[in-house]
Amino acid sequence: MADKLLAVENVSRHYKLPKQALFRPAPVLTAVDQASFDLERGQTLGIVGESGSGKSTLAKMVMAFEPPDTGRILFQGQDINALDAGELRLLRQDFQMVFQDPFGSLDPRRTVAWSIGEPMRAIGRAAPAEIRIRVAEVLEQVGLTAKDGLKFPHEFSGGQRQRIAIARAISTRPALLVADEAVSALDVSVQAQILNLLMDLQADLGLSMLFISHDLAVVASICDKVIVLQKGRILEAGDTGHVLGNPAHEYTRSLVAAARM
Amino acid sequence: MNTRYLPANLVIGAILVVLTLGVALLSVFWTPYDYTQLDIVHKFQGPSAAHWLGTDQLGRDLLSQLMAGAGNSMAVAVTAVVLGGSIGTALGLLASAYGGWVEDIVMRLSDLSFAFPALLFAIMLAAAFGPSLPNVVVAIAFINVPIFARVARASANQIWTREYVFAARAAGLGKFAISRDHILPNIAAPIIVQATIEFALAILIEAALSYLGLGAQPPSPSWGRMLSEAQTLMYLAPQLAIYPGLSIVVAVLGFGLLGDGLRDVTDPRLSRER
Repeated sequence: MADKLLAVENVSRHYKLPKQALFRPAPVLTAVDQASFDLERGQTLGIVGESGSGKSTLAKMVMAFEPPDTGRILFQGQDINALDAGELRLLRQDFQMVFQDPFGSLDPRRTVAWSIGEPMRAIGRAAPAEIRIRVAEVLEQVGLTAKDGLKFPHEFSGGQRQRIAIARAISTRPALLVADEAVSALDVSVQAQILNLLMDLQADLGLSMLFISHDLAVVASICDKVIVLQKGRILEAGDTGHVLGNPAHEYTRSLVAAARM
Repeated sequence: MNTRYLPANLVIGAILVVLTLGVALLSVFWTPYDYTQLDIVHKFQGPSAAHWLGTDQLGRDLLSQLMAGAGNSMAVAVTAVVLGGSIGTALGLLASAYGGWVEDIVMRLSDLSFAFPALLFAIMLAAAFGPSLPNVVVAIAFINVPIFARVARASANQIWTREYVFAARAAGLGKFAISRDHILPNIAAPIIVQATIEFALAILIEAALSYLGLGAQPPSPSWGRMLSEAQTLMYLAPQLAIYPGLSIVVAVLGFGLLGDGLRDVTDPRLSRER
């Protein structure tokens, strides 16, 4: 129990689809269906599945962007949907997210340093001078320079922007990093650099990661454990080598076969 | 964006707007004559070195009246559009940030006020509180509120789905802080475009209301009032109606073209060949 950082318990999420007929109830899409899993401290858990399998919905619920319709999500033993707004805001510094699109996750009208400092300012505990120092520190940690903070997002390449997004995510020294397709939009060579950076940071900072991807090769290279998701349901879960090496399920087998082509 | 050339409507609009605003500003400090100064002996004069555009039926200098009228017109339009635009934008941001019943109430109220003709509302205000320029400002501001609320909400709804807004939520920012730090700066362009276009309409409405005697009261100068005074003298001295009419056309056309030009430049969906 002590090293259980994140516990997802019987979580479901439904979306109402647009009505198709006037007097019939709107059809419902079950994005996540009764999902349960744990993430231990320092571990990386991969969530794989094709698009539409509910991966991103799961990420949104773990980030407390959306509440689950049923079930609970416990972070460090606390139900994140039972906290009031102020408590949740403080807790947010302990779980941060790296987004899929490095061109979309930074406000085009703000400097890089402004964006990286945003989570620290939101907490409101650090003085501006402290924030400046920390911004320079995380920029160097991800392989950029303090000077890069003065530039705007459009002056960087995709890989560099993803480094900036990671710098921002680790600025509050979180315990959990949720990476939703964090390398999917990047070229293969840049992908490898970002994956290495994530693994280095994990080793240095003792981060736990929830790594969401449709790319089995990427998941195999970075995750300790893996969950296979299909139509919102968890098909298989276990050690990465085991699940991907001996897939028990036909769907997992087809994913593995597709990845090997 | 590649700015090899600027659209013609932007350039022409900007020139007319600078001209109008320049004259309006100048009139605050200086006009050739006091626009209220009567000089019955020199009434109905044509253009001359002393009176560039001539004088009216009471011998007042036409150019001075036009300049002072520009000042009045701009002041009313600026106040009304800024007032209505700020309230409308704030309501639109609120509707977009909170959604649900907040959004429903704001948008249904906007629909309701859209059904209200601007002139009718102004006439109602004049009937209730007496005709005056402040009432014109209130009327124009009022009809601008739902227009800006709609534009702000529609643009803001797009920004709320951007990843950097999710990133800001992940950082722990509340809805107010996100609206202030991310939404407002990113919807500034469509708001400014709308404001420019509404500015042109505000000038027109002010002129119309003053023409009807519901806006500027004598001796306060106004293009609309000059038009209505010139009406009875149309056959005797048509220039008295032509000059204020032309002034209105130049100002409205200028702001209209500038607004269209700004939209062409800021909205890539509408720009034609690159």
